[in-house]
Order: sequence, then C-alpha cells, then structure tokens
Amino acid sequence: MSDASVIEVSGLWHRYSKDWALKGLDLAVRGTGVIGLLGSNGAGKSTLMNIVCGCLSQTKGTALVDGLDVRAEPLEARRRIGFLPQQAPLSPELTIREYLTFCAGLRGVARAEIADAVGFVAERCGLTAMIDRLTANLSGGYRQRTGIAQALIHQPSVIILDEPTVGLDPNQIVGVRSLIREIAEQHTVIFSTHILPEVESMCRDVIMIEHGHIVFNGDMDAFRRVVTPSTLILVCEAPPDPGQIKSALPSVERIERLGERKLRIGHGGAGDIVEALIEQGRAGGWGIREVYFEKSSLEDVFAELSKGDGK
Amino acid sequence: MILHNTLRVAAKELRYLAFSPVGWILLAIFCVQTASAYLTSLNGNYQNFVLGRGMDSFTEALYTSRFRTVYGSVIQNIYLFIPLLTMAVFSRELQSGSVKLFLSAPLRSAEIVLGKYLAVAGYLLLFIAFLVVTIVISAFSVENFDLLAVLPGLLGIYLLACTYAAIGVFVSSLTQYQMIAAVVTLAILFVLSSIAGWFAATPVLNEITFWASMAGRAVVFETGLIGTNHLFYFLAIIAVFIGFTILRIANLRTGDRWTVLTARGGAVVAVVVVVGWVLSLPQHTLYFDLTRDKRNSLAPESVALMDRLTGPWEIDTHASVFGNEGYISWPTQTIRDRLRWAAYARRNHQLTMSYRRFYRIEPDSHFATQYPDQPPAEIARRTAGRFGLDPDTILSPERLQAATDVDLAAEDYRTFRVLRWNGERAVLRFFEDANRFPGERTRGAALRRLLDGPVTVGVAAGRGERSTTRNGLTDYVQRFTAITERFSLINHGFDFASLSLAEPVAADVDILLIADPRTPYGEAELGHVADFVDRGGDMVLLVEGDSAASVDPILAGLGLARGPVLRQPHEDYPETLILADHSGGVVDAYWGANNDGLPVGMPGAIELLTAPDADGFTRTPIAIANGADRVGDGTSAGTAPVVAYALERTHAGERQRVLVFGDADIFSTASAGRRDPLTATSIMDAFHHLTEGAYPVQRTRDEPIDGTLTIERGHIQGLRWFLFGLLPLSVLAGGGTLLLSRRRR
Repeated sequence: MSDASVIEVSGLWHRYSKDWALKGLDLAVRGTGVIGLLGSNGAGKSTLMNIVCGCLSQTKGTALVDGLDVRAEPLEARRRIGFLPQQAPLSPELTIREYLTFCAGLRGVARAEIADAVGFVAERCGLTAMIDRLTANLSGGYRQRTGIAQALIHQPSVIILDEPTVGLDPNQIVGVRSLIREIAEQHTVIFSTHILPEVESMCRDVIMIEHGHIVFNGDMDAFRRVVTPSTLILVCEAPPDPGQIKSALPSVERIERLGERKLRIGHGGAGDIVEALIEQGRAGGWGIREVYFEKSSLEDVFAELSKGDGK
Repeated sequence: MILHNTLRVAAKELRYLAFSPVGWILLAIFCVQTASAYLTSLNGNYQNFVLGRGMDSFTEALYTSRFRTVYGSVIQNIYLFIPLLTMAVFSRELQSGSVKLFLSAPLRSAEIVLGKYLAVAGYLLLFIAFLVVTIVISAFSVENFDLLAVLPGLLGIYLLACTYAAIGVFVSSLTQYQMIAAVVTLAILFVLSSIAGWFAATPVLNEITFWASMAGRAVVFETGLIGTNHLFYFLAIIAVFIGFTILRIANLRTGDRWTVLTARGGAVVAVVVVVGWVLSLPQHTLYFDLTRDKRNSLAPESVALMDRLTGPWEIDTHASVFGNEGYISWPTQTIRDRLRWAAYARRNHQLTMSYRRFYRIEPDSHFATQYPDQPPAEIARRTAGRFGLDPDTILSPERLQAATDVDLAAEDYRTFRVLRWNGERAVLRFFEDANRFPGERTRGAALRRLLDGPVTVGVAAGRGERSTTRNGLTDYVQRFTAITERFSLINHGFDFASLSLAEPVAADVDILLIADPRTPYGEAELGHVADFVDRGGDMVLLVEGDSAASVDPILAGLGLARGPVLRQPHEDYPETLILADHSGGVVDAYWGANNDGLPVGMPGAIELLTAPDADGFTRTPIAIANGADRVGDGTSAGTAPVVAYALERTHAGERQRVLVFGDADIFSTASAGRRDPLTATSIMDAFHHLTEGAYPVQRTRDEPIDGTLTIERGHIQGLRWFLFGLLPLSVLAGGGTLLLSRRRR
C-alpha cells in the first residue's frame, strides 16, 4: 500500500442552513482497495462524498484528492475522481456508447483515446454486448454498471460510489459487487452502504460517520471486533442453572432465559467463551445442540460506536 | 479547452432536443403558424396586386412594414414556444440527479450553462430556417426582392428568441419540475412581450416598461434596420440571465446564502447594465439600414441639414390635448412620439423633446355639448379626468400664450411643434390629410429655417392682385399660406408678407410675387418693381390676358410680352384649360426631379412672347402649350406657344432668377382643388428654382423596384400544400422516424 494519501481530509466542516452536517472531519485514505463508508441517514457521508467529488463546497477545512485541494484546484482535483451518485446520472436519450463517449470527453480523455476508453470500460463493466442500447432501456443492474463505467472512464485515482447496490436484485448485487472488487484491484474505491455483510465481504477499510463525526476508521479486522456481538445463544437439552454457568465462567456477566432450552449469555468479550462453554457443557452433560453469536445489525454498530458521541 | 467543454455539453443537449418529441412538435407547430401568417400576407398582397392596388414594395409588404407581416406574427407569438423548449434544460438534470455528472466533472459552471444555452440557441436556428424558406419563396415570387432588407428582421427575431431562451434556461435551473419551469417562463415571457404601455401614465414606469419590452426592440430590426444599441440590449439581457444561471449552478456547489446570491446577482446586473448602457449611448451607436432604398434613414438632403445642426436642439410640442394629434403629448404616447424622430436623433442625439399641453374647447365642440353650461376650464378638467390625464398639466390657452413665444391664435390653437436650436425657432405643423404628420420634406424645411432662416416672399397687394391672405378661389392661400396644407409653401420654409408697391420693396424681401394686378400700377410702383429687379431681387410674375396693362412694362423690362390667349380642345375639359408640357430636354434643368412627363394645368393661359431686349436675362421656356391654338392670328405661328419662362442672369456676382407665367390661375386655390397632379409640385418646383434648391427641401430617394409579383394563383395554392402540409408533416415524420428508431434500441 502506498504511503501517499489519495484522499486527505482535515478539519472539514459543512453547514446546511443552520445545521452542521460535518463537524471537523479528519481522515486519510491510502492505496487501492475498497473503503466502506458507513453511516446512518443524515450522518454526513453523502456530504463528505459530495465535497470530495466537487459537487459541494465545504464550509471550512480542506479536502485533498491526490494532493490537490478540491477548492483551490477544483478542475484538476475532479479529474482524479470518478463519481457514481446514488442515482446513476444517465442520459436516457443516449446509448451506452454515446453516453460513455460524452462522459469521456467531459472527464478530459483525449479525443483520440476516447473510443478505446469506452471499449475498455464497457468490457470491464460487462457492457460490451449492450453498448448500443439506449440507457433508458437498461435494467437496474446495467444502469449501475453504466454508472460505474462513467466513473471509471478516465481511469481516476479514486472512484466514489454512493450506495451502488441499492435497488438491485440479488443477482445484480452479486454482479456489481464483483465488479467493484475487480476495479478496486487498481483503484481506490470508496463506497457507501447500509449493508453490513457487504462491508464485511468487500472492504479493506471502513470509515464510519455519525452525526458529522468519524466514529470509526480502521481496517476490517478492527471493524469485525466492533461488529462481533457480546451475546451468544446457547441451545441445549438440559440447560444448566444460570448460577452454575456464572460460577464456572467468570467472564459471563448475565444470563437471560429465552425458552425452556434456550439461553442468551452476555459476556465480557473473552475470545474463548465458546470453547469454554462447550467444554463446560460436555462436562456438565447439558446436551448442547447449538452455540452461536447473535447477529449485530448496523444500527447496533452505530449505537455502539456512537456511545458518548453526538456532540 | 473551455470551448471544447462548452461545445461538448452543447452537443449533448442538442441530442436531447433532437431525440425529444417536444422539439419536433414545436417545430411543426411553428411551421404551421408561420405558414399561416406568410400565406395570409402573400395571398392578400397577390389579390391587391391583381386588382391593381399593389404595393410599392412587396418586400416591405411581406416582411418589413410592421403591418400583418410574417415577421410581425413571429415576434408576437415566439414567446409561446420558448418555455416548452427550455423547461427541461436544467430541471430534468436536477430531478434525476444527473446534474452531479456535470458538477463532479472537471467543468466550470459557466461551461455547463453556456453549453446548454448554446444548444437551445442552435435549435432555435431551425425556427429561423423555416423563415428562410419563406424568404426563398418570396425571392422567387417578387421581382427584385430586397433580400438584404429582410435579414435584420431575421436577426431581430433570433435575438428575441435567444433572449427569451436565456430567461427560460434560468427558470429551468431554479426547479426540478419541468412543468413549473414552463409555466413560470411562460408567465415571464408573456409579461415581457406585452409590457410596453403598461403603467404608461407614469412617465418613469413608462420608460421602464418600454425599456423592458423586448418585442418592441425586435420590431426595429423588422424594418430592415440594425442598431447596435438594440443589438447590445438583447446581448445584455442574455448576459444577465446567463449570468444568473451560472450563479445558480455554481450555488449548487457552494450553497451560498440568498444574501450572497443576491449580491452576486446584483453585481452581474450592475456590470451588464453599465457595459450595455455605455455601448448603447447614442454616440456609440451604429446603424445599418439594409433596405435597398434606405427607407429607415434620412434622405441625403436631411442628412446634410442634420450634419449642420450641431449641439443641443429641442422639439417643443404645443399640444391641444383634446384636438387632433393632441394625443401625442399624453404620457402614454410620448415614447412613441420620440420614435418618430429617431432617425433625426441618430444624427444629433442631443435632442430634447418637451410637451406643453393646453386645451381649446370650442363652444360647439363635442366636449362642450357634453358639459353644458360649464366653463371651458371645467370642461377641460372633467375631460382630462376621463382620459386619465392630470388636469394640472393642461393649461388654458391664455396661460400657455403667456408662457410661449409662438402665437397660438396664428396656429389656430391646433397642435404644432416648435423646433429650437441655437436661439432660432421654426414651427412644424400637422396637416389635414390622411397622413397628418409632417414628412421628411416639411421637417427638412423646418430644420433649414433653424439653420438659414426663412425665405421671405413679398406679395404685391393693393391693385387687385391674387392674394395670399384672402381665401378666394382665384387666390393663393391654399398653396401659399394655409397652415394645414402639406404642400403649402408656408410649411416649406417661406414666409409671406403683403406689400404695397407704392413703397420701395423692403430689403428683407427675397422674392417679389406679382400676380395678375387688376388695376394699373403707377409710375412709382413700376419704379419700385424695377428697382427691385435692378438690385438683383428674385421675382415671380404671373399675368393673364386681361391683367392690368401695367404688367406690360414689367414684362418688357424682362424682354417679354403678352401674346395671344390660347385655347386647347379637350373631350372632358373646357378649351380654356391649357395642359402645358414641361417635358423635354429644354426644361429639364428647371423641373428637375419632378419632370415626369405630366402636363400642368393653366386655365386661360396666354402665350408669352420674347422681345429683343432681355436686359441680360437668359430666357428658358419652361412650359409649352403643345396642343393649344392661338385665338386670332398669333405672331409665332408654326411653333408651340410658350406659356412660362425662367429668366436668369448674374447680378453683382449672384444669380438672379425670375419666373414668368402666362397664367395666374396656376397657383390658385381653384387649381389646387382640381387636384391637378402636377399643380402642387409645379409650385414647389418654381420656388425650389428661385431659392437655388434651398426651399422646399427635396428628398431624393431611390424608388422601390420590388412592386411586382411574379407568382400566380396556382403557385399560391401549391405553396399552401407545401407550407401547411408537406413541410410540417416532413418535420413530424422525420422526427418521429428518428425517435422510433432510437426507442427500439
């Protein structure tokens, strides 16, 4: 991973009317790969993306793309970025080829290279067979692919995708995710999403914004530690007395009976709690049938990471 | 790069318009609407032409006359098309979010806006192309069609459409809803296209609404005239709204507060207004009259006068507000009145136009009968209220008389203008004819009076001569001193003063007029005439066969004598009416521009004979009675009798001119009433000759040569099919085919 930041944001503030959407953000993104940008609605992630892409001018602070200040050198900075807004900015009156050709021109691709660039991104995004179709006649998946192709057409350093899988069917989602992964091999891809598994399956790093603050900025391993829940479910034929479990396993903090044979066990985060439980169960003849961590929702993660935030 | 990006955006927007049904449907509707206006005009003109009531210029009739022309129709209706064309320009991008494609691209806001605007402006050329189709048809339908004259109209319509489009594009950038954009644009354009005259009673608002009336500006172009001030006006308005749109699109990025936006918008307006104002100043304005006969420009004679009229000048209108033409002083009309002098103001822009309003309520007038028993002041007050006029601005004749240096009674309390310059003044009147307004010749005469003063004609009186003050049929009031007559010499730079020849002719008399004295002059009187001639004075002498014998010594001094009375047989007239010819090379020098071969009527004319001693005068026959017979046995049998001579000699280094007519009725009110085609111009020519071309002022202008239609009725029917059917259907079919082929992709 290169040490140079492709995106560097410092002291970034932005205000809509009276309300501050960003409150002094600092972050740096380096190297290729997929960076997940998470945040609840209104958290400020779209504002951040719009500022970086040049669609919005920050109230204060600086945002650099490839070392170029988006405010001082906006045109050069925008040349380094490809952007797919949440709604793909297509032109329904144009075919994919015409549209990509237009976008290539807009993004500063040399005239002689436009045809090759169009062919390349069409191939890359799986659009070659459809290239002379009107964008108005495309399915959702192909519309998103076309949107991604326009963001990629000038081979930018950074590609920013705003919830690129929203509204797609499962097959289309798989296809788009696969495409993003491919692109991220050579580019820095920042994409926003609400879907936690998507983040887990695709991202190298995660940036989480809440109430205009960055509440998490780290790699996937660190993120998983946050995401991994502190409760697990124990299903067994002969559930033990909760006091017996607590005395045997000091890291267990609370136990809640969910049914005749089902318990929810809260623990202090010890890494070996599952193995310890199984061992105790075998020894105590509990007849364990299932042990699993409860799934965390993104809301849980937001809530967890936002504790003490909201300033 | 900037241009490339702009053109790139423009090309894409053009594709949108080309692949949108709205553009094609609008074009087809425009075709039909314009075809209707064109064919109505063409057909009407064709019928008039066939009936022998053709126009002098069919180019003017079809395009540049401001009356039921195809251009007029387009100027009136083009605002209906623009909102539908511009409604989607930005609103669709805002609604779909695709505006972010532009915002995130390395583009300036100006490139985005200019690109989209250029596309709309480019599409509007298709509308213009349809007008060009009608021009091509006209070029083949009118002999000597004045192609250049119609080009400014095209430019004016295009500028008007582009200005409306700039407004539409701006409105489109304000909302994501296309229908709202269309309706708001339509409302704005409706106001701008019809605003002229709103609030006209308030002078300041009147000026503002006139300024804001874009259609009115386009009409100036319609006449074949390009004024750079009007050009800059349109460009300034376009610049303002394009500037606003750029600010709006930039604001999508910056999200500035409305106060900041307002300040920036204000700055745009300020810069454009200042630049536009400077460029539109009269001294910076250039005019290009592209009509073949330069009908929007002054004739060379007027130009020469205006070139001498340097410095401030004023047109001080004294308006009898309830009389004829008094309305020109109403606040609602003053701007329109100013336009009547636009061609003059172009030559000297230091023109001030002022209005003094007064009332004249005649006891038996319509106004008086409406308010019986009311004094004139009260009638005027109430009448003013009914016209929405401020009664306090309308003076009684007495109050105005006390405030002005012109005798209102001498002007019969009618509306008139006083031209003022450099301490001089000249009265300019309105006339009792179909046109009523003074034309270029009478205006030229007033201007020359300012510059050179009038020519004073001393009219001999006291011996039964024809009079310029007595209104008999044989007298000369109608053509000499009637203030309401367009061709009366008093309106062409001449002042008339009756004089008795018993006294020496005053030194300020430039021309002595002696017309048919009925009782003989005494020795002293004849001596004063001779003295006048001897000192080089110009003279007009009109004699009848039965004039007092004392005209003979005057004639003799000029080397002329009275000959026999003439008779001319006619089918329709009494034989006493001599129709004298003044055509032919011998008289060209005298009759000049008006020598078009028509005879001049001289009732009871006598032949003028030459005597040996002409006292240095050369004698040129200027009217010859070719078809006349001499009563009795004439002395010049075999040659046609001469009935008028122009005498000239050099006296004290200056040319002296004398005109002698063997008929005194030629200038009479009765002759004027006979509507002899050349009687009026004969008088004008006579005095033009005497003043060495100073008065009356001529107006030489090329005659239109496009007064013949070569088209036939069958062609018009064919054009109807082509313009109403084939062309719009082709537009729809072409557009439809294109759209369907795209939709299948």
